[in-house]
This record gives sequence, C-alpha cells and structure tokens, in this order.
Amino acid sequence: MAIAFDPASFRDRHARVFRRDGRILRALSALGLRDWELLKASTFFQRHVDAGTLVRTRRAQDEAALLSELGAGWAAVVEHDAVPFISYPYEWTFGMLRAAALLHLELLGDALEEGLVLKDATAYNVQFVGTRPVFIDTASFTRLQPGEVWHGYRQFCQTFVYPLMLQAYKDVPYQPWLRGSLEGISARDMYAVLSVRDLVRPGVLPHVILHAKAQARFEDTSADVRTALKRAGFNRALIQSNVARLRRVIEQLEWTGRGSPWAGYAETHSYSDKDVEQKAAFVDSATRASAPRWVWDLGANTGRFARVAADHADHVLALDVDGPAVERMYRDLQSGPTNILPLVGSLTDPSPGVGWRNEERLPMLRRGKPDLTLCLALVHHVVIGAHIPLPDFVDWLSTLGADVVIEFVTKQDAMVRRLLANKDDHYTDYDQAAFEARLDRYFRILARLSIHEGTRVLYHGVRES
Amino acid sequence: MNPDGAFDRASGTCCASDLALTNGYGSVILHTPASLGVHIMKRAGVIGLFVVWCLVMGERNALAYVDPNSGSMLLQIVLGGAAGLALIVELLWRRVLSVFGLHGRDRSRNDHAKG
Repeated sequence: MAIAFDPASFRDRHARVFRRDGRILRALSALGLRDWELLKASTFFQRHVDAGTLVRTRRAQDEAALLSELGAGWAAVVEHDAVPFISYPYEWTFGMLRAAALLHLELLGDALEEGLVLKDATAYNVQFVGTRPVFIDTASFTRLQPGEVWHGYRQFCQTFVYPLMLQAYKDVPYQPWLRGSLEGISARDMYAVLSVRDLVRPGVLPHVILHAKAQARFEDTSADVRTALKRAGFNRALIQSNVARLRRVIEQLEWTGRGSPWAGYAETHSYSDKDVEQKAAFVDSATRASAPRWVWDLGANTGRFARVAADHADHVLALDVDGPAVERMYRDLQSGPTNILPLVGSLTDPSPGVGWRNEERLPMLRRGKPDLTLCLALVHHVVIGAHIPLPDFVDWLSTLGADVVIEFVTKQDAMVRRLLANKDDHYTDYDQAAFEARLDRYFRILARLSIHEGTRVLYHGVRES
Repeated sequence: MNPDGAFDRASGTCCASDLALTNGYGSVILHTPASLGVHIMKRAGVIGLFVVWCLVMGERNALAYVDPNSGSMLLQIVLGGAAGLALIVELLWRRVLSVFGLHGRDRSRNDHAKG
C-alpha cells in the first residue's frame, strides 16, 4: 500500500508526516536527516523531551521497510509519540495560546544558543497534552546560516502576538478570526483595529505599527534584502534581542475574561450544593461503569464534572463555547488533573475542515471519538438556545457511538424559564417523554436520577450495539 | 484610525529621505494627545532607528513582486537593540561608500565568529 502523507504536511518538502496503524511517522530527506541529527545532538533537545515540552522522537525501528515503501528521495524515518487529541489554536483559550507562544520563544532561544533556529513559527506547531504545551514539529529546527534573519518572525506575530493582543487589548476573541484565516492576523489588519490608546501598550509600536508600515513600505521591493542584510553583518545577537523583547511583551499580556456570566456559573447557578453533589456522584458511578478511554464533556463550563470523570478515564476533552469559562478551567487545571484538555468550541457550530482541500485542519469529529459523552445542563441550550430540534440532537449524539450521561432540564426549571422569558415557546419537541423515547431508540438506560425537585433528570445510557 | 500619519501609506513616499524628517517624525507628536507624545518621546530611540533605517534602505521600487516578508526582515534590525544600531551604522557607511563608487567588505563571512 502506497504511503499517503498527512494532508497538513506539505509545506516542508524535506520532512513529511504520515500515519501507520496509529503511529505518527515522519519521512526525512537527506537535508531533513541532517537537521534531525543536529537537533538530536543539541543539549536542549533531550532536556525539553524529558520535560514533555518537545515531542518524544526516535528513528523508526522498521525504518528500512518504510524507506523502501516511500521510494526515492527519502533518507530516514523518525517516529513521534502521538498526541492524544489534535487541537488547533482557534480552539485554545487565551492562556493556552500564550503558553504556546512562550514555549515557542523558549525553544527558539535555546536553539539560537546552539546555532540552530526554527524555520517557521506557526502556532500549529504546538499541541496540548492536557494543559501542557508540546512542540511537535521537530523538522522546524535547522542550522542558522550566517547572516540569516529570523524568517518566522512575521508568522509568529500573525499566529501568536496579534491574536493575543486582540484578546488582551481589545477584549475581542481571536478564535473566529484564526478559524477563518490559517495564516493568522496580518500586521495591517491588527493595526486597523487599534485605537490611539493602544499605541502605548507593550509591543504595539514595534510589532504592530512599525511592522505594518515596514511591510507596506517594502512589499514591492525588488531588492535582495536577504543578501544585503547578510553582507552588512546581520547576526544572531539581533534575533536574540528581538526574542527577549517579544517574550517580555507576551508575558505582560493578560486577559481574565471578566464579565462572562458562565465563568462564575459554578457559584451563581440556581441549584443547591446537594444537587451538585448528587450530580457528581451520578457522573462518578456512570464513568466507572462505562470505563471509558475518552470522555467528552460537552458544555463543560469550568470543568467541575470533567474533573469527576477524569478520575476514571484516560483522557477528558472538556469543550465549552464560553471563552472565559474555559480560560478559568485552564487556569484551575494548572494544579491538576493532567488528563483534561480544555477547548473552546460550539457543539452547534463545531470546527470545520479548513485549509488545503479542507483537510489541512480537520473537523473536530474526525480527530477523535468519545467512549462516553457528558451532556450536563446542555440540552436546553441546544434546543431552545440554538434551535436544534430535540430528536435531531439525540440522533446526532448516537452517531458518536459512545455511552452517554445526559441531563434533561424541564420547562419548569428556572434556567429554562429564563431562556424562554422573551420568546414564544414553539419548542413543542422539548418534552421529557419524547426525549426519553428518543433516547431509548439508541441507548439502554442503566440509571436515572431526578434532582432539583424533579426539574432536572439525569440519565446514564449505554450504546446499544 | 491612523494616529501617525507620518508613516501613512497614503503619503506614498513616507520613507523617502526628503520626506521622512519633515513629514515623518514631527507629525507623530503633532497629531496625538500630549500623554501619547510623552510616551512616544520615550520611545524616540525606536522611532529614530526606524527613520534612520528608512533613510538607509533607499527609494521605493515599483516592481510588482509582492513580498511583505522583506519588511518583516528589515524590521528585525530595529528590533535587534544595540546590535541593530551597529548594523544601521554599517549600512549607512556602505551607502556613503557607494556614493564614491567603493564597496564595503562582506561581513557575513565572519558572522559566526561574532555569534
């Protein structure tokens, strides 16, 4: 069977990723092999691998067989440890993108010390294992040629610095923008959204204004800038100075997400501590019974129940549409557990396939499947908030092929009444009996628990095979 | 918004040597609030470097090869701190030499020795 490269791995002709039986492999050309050997011989490589900040990589054991399959032009095959779930910058919360940016600069700084550099600087070179950022593109390290500038600077600004500034300085979520533009935010566009007040903020003058002006000024130059700089004596000290300044700018960027009703939901919701305890116990016993490898907590809020599920699962994907709530979850998770991946995303508008052939960045549902899905305090938002018909939602849930813990919130509940307060109630499909009947179609109900004076009902359903 | 019309693209030749000093640097102070002016004065070093650098890099060329990365590359001189300043002096010197039809030595050869 011919080897097909990963649809996202096409930019670097000397190092291309492919998969084989769940393994992540990378074919290297002679040049790619030279760079890999330089990286492997560096002192920072092993240090970062041991710290978990650089993906563990080794020569593939079956390299000879793989090379013969690959054909001419390839000199080596390395194997990377697989990341449990691939996520993208437009699904990360502010703190995650910031951590990824700082990791990138740290690696670049370490590489420069040893005469190496990172070829590119896209945020997509970082992945998250739980809340820990991991740099995955080992092929990005190469020898720093004498007199070369940092070619990734523009990309670093576009995919890290400007999105972070947009959130920190303008309180505008960057996720929709990054989802719509894989190249990130251009200097020109970032400049356009700034106000006079922003000019005094850290990093704006050099990295946004001067950058936008410099690009506009030289966009149609025919001069061989690269050679001119080289001849004049551009050297690594300039890059190191820029990297140190960028690091200080990024360290100063802050965003707390105040003002979201959902980030404080755990304290302000309408149900009692007893309800929460009952719900946690239900999730605990359901997760034990389903013994899942992967739990997807859809509408995870700040991760209260994701933590419960994490005790009995290998991994938990905790998804919520509310950026501030996910930011708070991310911060809280710094002190553990380590097997919860917090992501920003909407169930009713999930990440699509984007980029080259719409396959460069895959839809969320093509990147993994849950074994158990948690839908707690969610159904009323899907049906009444997002207008998805209730039977459709249950049908969709069944396509995940996973067991389910789902909470039905009746129309007597205060939160549902609030959702219906200013609209006509034409949601005739939002009915408990109809919900149960639909659920029965796909799931065998193992447990059922009524809480909050009967206005909320929890179900644990296992998928009928 | 475009508070610093000094470097406005609409002005076209903002970085051409004859305009940079009069139309460029001065208007940053004139068209912004006093507090901002104070701040920018503090950053005059960066702006000064940028202006000098524009002088060094010469005239606009109208060839339509779009490569915004050239600007990103050149900006790295300004972002290079003291080492960047030294490089600007070097580039200025080269320009002076070229006026007299002379060529400076190629410094890329000893780049690694400098680190």
